Amino acid sequence: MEWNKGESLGIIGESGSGKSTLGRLLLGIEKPDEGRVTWGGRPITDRRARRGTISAVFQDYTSSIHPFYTVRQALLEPLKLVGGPGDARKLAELLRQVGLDESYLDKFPHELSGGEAQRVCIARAVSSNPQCMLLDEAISSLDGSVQMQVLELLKGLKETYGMGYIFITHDIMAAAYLCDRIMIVRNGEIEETVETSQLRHVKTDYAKALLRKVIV
Amino acid sequence: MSLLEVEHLRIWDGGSGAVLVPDSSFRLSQGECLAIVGESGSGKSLTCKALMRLNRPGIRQTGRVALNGVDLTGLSDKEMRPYRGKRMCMIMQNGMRAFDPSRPVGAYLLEALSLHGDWSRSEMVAGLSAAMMSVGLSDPSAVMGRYPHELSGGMLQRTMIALAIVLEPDVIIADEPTTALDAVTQYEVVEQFVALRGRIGSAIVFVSHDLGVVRRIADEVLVMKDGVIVEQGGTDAIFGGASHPYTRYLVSSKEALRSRYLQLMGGDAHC
Repeated sequence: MEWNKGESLGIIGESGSGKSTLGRLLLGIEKPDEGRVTWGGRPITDRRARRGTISAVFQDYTSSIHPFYTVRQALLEPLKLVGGPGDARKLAELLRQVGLDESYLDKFPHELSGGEAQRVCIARAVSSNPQCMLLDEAISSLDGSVQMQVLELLKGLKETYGMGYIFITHDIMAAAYLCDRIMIVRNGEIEETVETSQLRHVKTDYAKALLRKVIV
Repeated sequence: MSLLEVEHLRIWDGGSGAVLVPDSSFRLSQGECLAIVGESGSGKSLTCKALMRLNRPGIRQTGRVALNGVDLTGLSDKEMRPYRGKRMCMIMQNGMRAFDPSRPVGAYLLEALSLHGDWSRSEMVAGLSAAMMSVGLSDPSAVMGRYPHELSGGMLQRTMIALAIVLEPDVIIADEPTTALDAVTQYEVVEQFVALRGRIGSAIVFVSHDLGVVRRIADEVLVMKDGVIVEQGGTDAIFGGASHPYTRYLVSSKEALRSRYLQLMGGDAHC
């Protein structure tokens, strides 16, 4: 498979389909038994390939931020690694980009609602200026209206900064809303890939059955 | 007299004194499906558990909860026990937590049945097997021999639905039964609930934050926010033209998502 700069790619599949494993392989936090993952020609295992290239937001926001860190410290963590500016202005700007403000800087993760915590995780992911943000079921645990707010936020980041996404989810409607292209995964294999605009015209029986099961 | 009458239900935290549900009243008729919708913190789970007096010890409640005219809140724990399971049965969100992890699923099912009826063991196994086949578990004895962690979320939900089919309670309380499942399994479990309504005459209280699911299954809807019921009404009325701003907000919040999807799929989306 490929991902192209600026693209918003959805990876959809049922639980157990292998989509999360694929996500971990793309991030380089798991090694394949065969084959290669490269970013800009460099293997993902090379630290230089990862810096400024890809960052991630996961499903469980309660375990994604160190519980002893304030929001400020959580945001500073990746900035220290890429050597970016860690000043108050930059942090305030990051929070504003995700619809929060400076008042959150001294809060602890347990003081945040689900939506707020996930926004902090997105802000943290944006801070290293990656080309691509990988989101693994990042909105599934949120309330419906909050899911919508986060999707709009991601759309906004895409439109303003050309942020690219790899959006892993079982929620086909969410993927159709955010993504340009959708890849359907089944039992560890790529079943079909389709431009979102052509979703109606999927070819395989499995893809058709999957789309029929969407509760609108 | 309605099947289930809830009057002035008040729930608070005994430790801090914080009021969680100030004053809720609603009714459930025979055979009806009532959905309770709301976002996290709305009090829907607390309300469900209060109906069966299953909130954790620190949570206190007052108010009348009457099943067929009998006020459950006045019963002792011993008197309450035959009601839980046989008269009112709960299907929970996370199947893994509903079952005893140290025993195979079959052991739990048989124990639940033996508490509530006079069947022989072979009658129970036969009844369960038939019910499990009917919910799509094609190898009931294999499923009964498995431990909860060996079964998928969807299979655990189906198992709980099968138990409800055998028990045929007056009221089934389903607390976010599809929330922890992936989209395909959600669809299949919702279809099981729809089929269940056709099979047994139980009334259902169905708690969910997913309005698409509610639209599919419910006759009546209660909308809760911050512990308060802000609106009640028939499903069509609520989704068609609700009066309360919060209901309108909930209904419309995913509208952009739905309309984009419907636009992409043309007329082919399953509604």
